Amino acid sequence: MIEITELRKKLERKKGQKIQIEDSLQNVRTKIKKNKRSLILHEKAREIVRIVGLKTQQQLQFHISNITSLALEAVFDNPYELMVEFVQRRNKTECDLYFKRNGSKVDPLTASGIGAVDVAAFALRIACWSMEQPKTRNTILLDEPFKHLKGKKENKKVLEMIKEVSNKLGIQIIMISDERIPREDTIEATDKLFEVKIKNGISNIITE
Amino acid sequence: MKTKQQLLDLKEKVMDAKTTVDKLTGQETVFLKQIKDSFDCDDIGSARRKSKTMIRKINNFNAQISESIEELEEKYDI
Repeated sequence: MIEITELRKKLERKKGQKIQIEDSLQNVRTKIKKNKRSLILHEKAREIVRIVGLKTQQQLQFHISNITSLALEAVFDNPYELMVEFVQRRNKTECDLYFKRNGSKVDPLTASGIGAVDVAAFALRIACWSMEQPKTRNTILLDEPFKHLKGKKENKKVLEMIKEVSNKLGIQIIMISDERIPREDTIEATDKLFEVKIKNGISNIITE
Repeated sequence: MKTKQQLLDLKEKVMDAKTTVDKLTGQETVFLKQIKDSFDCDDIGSARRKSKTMIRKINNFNAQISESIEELEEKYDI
């Protein structure tokens, strides 16, 4: 009699365990369903982020490449084209910049003339400023930005290019330059010229 | 003085109650094993405390997420 009572007790406990396990199983099934729905939504969201990222990169690529190539075109007769390439490195998107001419890739810092890099760097700075949100003040201060640029013609053209950029984008450009550019060209290209001369170790500003 | 039938009914009720207790004991055994395996809790009291802490953490995370979203919205004027 005692054995039967014990067995019945055991049976009831096992039944209780079964109920608990079935409950948990039901919970797990509900969670799986929910997670599957959530997974679908997350995959959609990831796809949206991927597309937005790609579009942003394309726009950025176009913007940077376009402005810089135009600047190079304005200065050089046989200009390089600036190419922008987005690559994945160490789980991060990085932007590679290189020059291209006649279909071949050129490393700007080692294989091209540094004068072209100066022009590209100026254009990149302008491109970055034009994309800034919120916008910063429209004054750009440059200290001998084209010091590696050779050739009188190129130096004259670069001044014309700066003038055009300044007019078109409404940017005030304050630039420090040496005397490599003929004086009359500088006067022609600038709105205001301040000439600085050192006398007895003291800088004197002469306004023209 | 209770009649024989009343006593028998009472006995049946006691048996039913015992059955329920056994069933619940079985459920409790599985439940305790589950909270031990999933949350490393030895009893229901510690599971309750852990659950409170987790809820607090979730609420903090939610608040941080909302705050960050607001900051982003302000920063990018959305």
